[in-house]
Amino acid sequence: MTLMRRRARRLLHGTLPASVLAVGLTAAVIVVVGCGTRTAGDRPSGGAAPPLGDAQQSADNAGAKAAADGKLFQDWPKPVGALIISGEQRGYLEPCGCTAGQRGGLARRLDLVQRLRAQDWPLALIDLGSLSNDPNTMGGPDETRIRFSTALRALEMIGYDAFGLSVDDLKLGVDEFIIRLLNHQGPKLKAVSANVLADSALGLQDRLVTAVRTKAGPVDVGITSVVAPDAFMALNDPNKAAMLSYRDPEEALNEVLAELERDTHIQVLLAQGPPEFAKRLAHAHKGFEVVVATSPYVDPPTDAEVLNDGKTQLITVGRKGQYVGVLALYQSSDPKQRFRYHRRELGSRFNGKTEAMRKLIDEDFQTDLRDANVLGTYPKRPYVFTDSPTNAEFVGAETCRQCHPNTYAKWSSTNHAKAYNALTNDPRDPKRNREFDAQCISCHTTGFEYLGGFTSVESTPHLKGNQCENCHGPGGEHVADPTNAAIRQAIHRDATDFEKNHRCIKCHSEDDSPHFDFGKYWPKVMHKGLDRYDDPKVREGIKPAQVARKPKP
Amino acid sequence: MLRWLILVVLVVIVSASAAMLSTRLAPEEPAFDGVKLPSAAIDPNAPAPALVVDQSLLHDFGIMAQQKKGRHKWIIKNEGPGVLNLIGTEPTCSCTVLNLKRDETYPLKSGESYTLDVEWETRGNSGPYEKQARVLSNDPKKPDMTFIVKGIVRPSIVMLPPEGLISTGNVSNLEPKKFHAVIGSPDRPETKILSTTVSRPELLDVEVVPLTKEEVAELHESMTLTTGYRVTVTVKPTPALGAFSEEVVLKTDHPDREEVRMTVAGKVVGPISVMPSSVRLSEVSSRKGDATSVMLWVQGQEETEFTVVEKPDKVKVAVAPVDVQGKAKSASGRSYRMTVTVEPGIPSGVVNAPIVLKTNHPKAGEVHVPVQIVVVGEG
Repeated sequence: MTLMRRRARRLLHGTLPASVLAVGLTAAVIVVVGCGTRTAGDRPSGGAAPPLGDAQQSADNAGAKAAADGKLFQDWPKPVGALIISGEQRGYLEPCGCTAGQRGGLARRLDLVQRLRAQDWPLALIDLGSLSNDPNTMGGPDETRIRFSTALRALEMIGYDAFGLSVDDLKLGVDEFIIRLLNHQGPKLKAVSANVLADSALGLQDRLVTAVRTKAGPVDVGITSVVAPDAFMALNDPNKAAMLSYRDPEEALNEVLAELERDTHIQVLLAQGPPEFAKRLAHAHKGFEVVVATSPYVDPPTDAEVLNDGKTQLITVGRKGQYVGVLALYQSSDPKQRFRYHRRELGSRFNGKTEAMRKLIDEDFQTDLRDANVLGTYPKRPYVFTDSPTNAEFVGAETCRQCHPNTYAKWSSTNHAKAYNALTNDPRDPKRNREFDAQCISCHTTGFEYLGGFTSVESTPHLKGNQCENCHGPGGEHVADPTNAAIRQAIHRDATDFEKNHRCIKCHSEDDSPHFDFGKYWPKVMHKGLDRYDDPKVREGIKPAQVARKPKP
Repeated sequence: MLRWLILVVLVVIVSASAAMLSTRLAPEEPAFDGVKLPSAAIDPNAPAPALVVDQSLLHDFGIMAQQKKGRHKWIIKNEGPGVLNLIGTEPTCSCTVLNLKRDETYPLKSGESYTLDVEWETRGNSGPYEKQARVLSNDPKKPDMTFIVKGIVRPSIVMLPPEGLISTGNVSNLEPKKFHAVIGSPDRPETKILSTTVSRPELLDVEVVPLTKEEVAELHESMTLTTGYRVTVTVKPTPALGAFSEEVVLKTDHPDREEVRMTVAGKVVGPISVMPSSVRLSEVSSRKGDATSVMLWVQGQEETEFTVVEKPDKVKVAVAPVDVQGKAKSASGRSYRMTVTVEPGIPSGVVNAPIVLKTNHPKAGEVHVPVQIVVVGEG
């Protein structure tokens, strides 16, 4: 009998040698151990998250890991639903600032939401409010109002359920806020406030409500909002008393919370007031599992603050829309295991396809600004000379050139001279055109905020770019009487004056010029002693007809 | 037989250990916000590091002036047996600089430490200031550490409201309205206001008086003022309705801030609000025409009569009370709808002419509504 046959007989008759048995048993054990052990990232689907200690919480906050294929929160169990929480956008439809390294923007927010929806996360979207900036900043009152309306359209597009009413938005003008809310075309988005109510004759019943009910998957979510009393009382508007009424927030919340607890699983409170106001309400009304507070800082904390023995998540999402909060919901009787929070930065990785949003901001919003003529309606003021009371007009750099040719040449070589072109020829995106955006125009043209300054390319082409008079003040009096020492003193500038009086950072702000360093930038524009004034003609002055201000017919 | 059994047990132990270690030290490098976390998969048997920072992660620098730099060091230690890899990320602001740059990796052997040097600039910031800097690591218990610097930036001259922006909101055209601001110097309390200039004296009155002790005591502690001035701006009654933005320029004797410009901005409104404040139609077909409406909210009178005294050509204007769910009026006011109809056959071009309504309201005899209509196509 051959060796093979002898082995086959042993197998059939169960008389295998010990060596064969041992190897086979080992192989079997190895297979069982290897397949049964979970790899990193495997988690039971749905169900409760494992208990979260500090270490795990820290890991979660860091490691809302994304796979190479762009999936978010890869290492989280899939929740039964999630809340996307944002707020205090303050007019920033786009990433804040006009240079690199920006965060935020509604297109990125939409990208985040789209990705989560693609991962079958049921979402409820909530905004704290304060969509608007102060109407006397960022482009002026008319532009601010159009920004607000555009923000409403954007939130509707993303699929928001509610935003909190805020004093910041009422500063548009109570009447403006109301009419823009009334005119908003969209089925879903509502403004919510439990304690600020609109006069019934205004017809806002469907748009401004005391509470919103929505769903995040199987989870019924109730949302309400309150405005702090000091903030509301400080709002100055003759229409406030006529159009709105105010209730004590505590009284209002007692009623609204009781109603929401009857038919929703989770109750969310948006607290429009100082952070301590939100915390006080969270302690006083423990029924709210989620309380969203305002933030004194742009960057919010990485974690939610857990109050009321783990029952309440106090969340802040910072300012300027640079972050959103993602609160995943899990089924658990233990409140400490029902939520998992992550502060999500809206950085450059969220530059996915959001064509509709980009069209809204890059085209529709810009068209609205143009049609509303925000440049023409911007409230201008006379330029104030403190040393020599004059009402000088802006004459343009071409006029200055006639007596200061070398200084003009130096200026022409700087980015100041090319500032207007940057609005219409953005190398990052040829579709971007900001020539009708007052917020941009104010720093890319000359004298925009002042009477006689830039108004439009058609009527004031000679004031394009950041010219001499943005730093020196309007030169009309000086060109007419160049030897007048008092006038020359009034328009004289030096490095000390600029640095101490913060003249440069008005445009070179942290948002728009994050790398600005006065010491490094000043030498690029400084132009002392470049011209000689031997020619007697420079002392004659320039007659109004010689001022290069009128556009050619 | 016994030897084979012992071999089996040993193999099982080794296999299970290898499998367990492989779950802790995942072979692939997960991506996190575009930054690849360090992986110890080179040697799956390697022990884990342990990142330790004995100091608080929050550094409060107290009060700093503007345009200044601050610096703070944190010592990061590896108290675990494995190699600790630190990775830098981009700070939340260009004003915050770390010695560990973005995507730069610094390995720490067991027992070694690293000095994280964080420098920040206050620049033109004013008031509460907080910036964050994150460092990632391969410590599975602390993969992400956030270091925070915070404090208060105090400029040479502090103002309330911040930046000296007095937003008046809507002010009535019939009554004067006062607004108050505070200005002072924390580092030079004896600073004087030398002069005050206003861009439009016919609209604004400005008065500057020293703060009383009681007023100083009421100021928020973050302003750190022991003396200062109260600037009272009065917006005078004016027939000119609409938005305004004016400047109040203060000259001081502070060597670091000789000139301060405050902005006073808002809108003058009357008892009749036009919502929205103008009529705008674009791409109106010359052949078909179009229509739109605005709401007129009237306060202080139960019934108001409107008469159209001026309007653009080829445009019809009609005003009627609005009945909102049976409530045309409330105690506060009454709403009316002004319907503007562009007639078919209007010539193409831009219509830029106001609608003027005369009313029987004792405090608002006339209402001006700007109109801009862009007509396209052939008439």
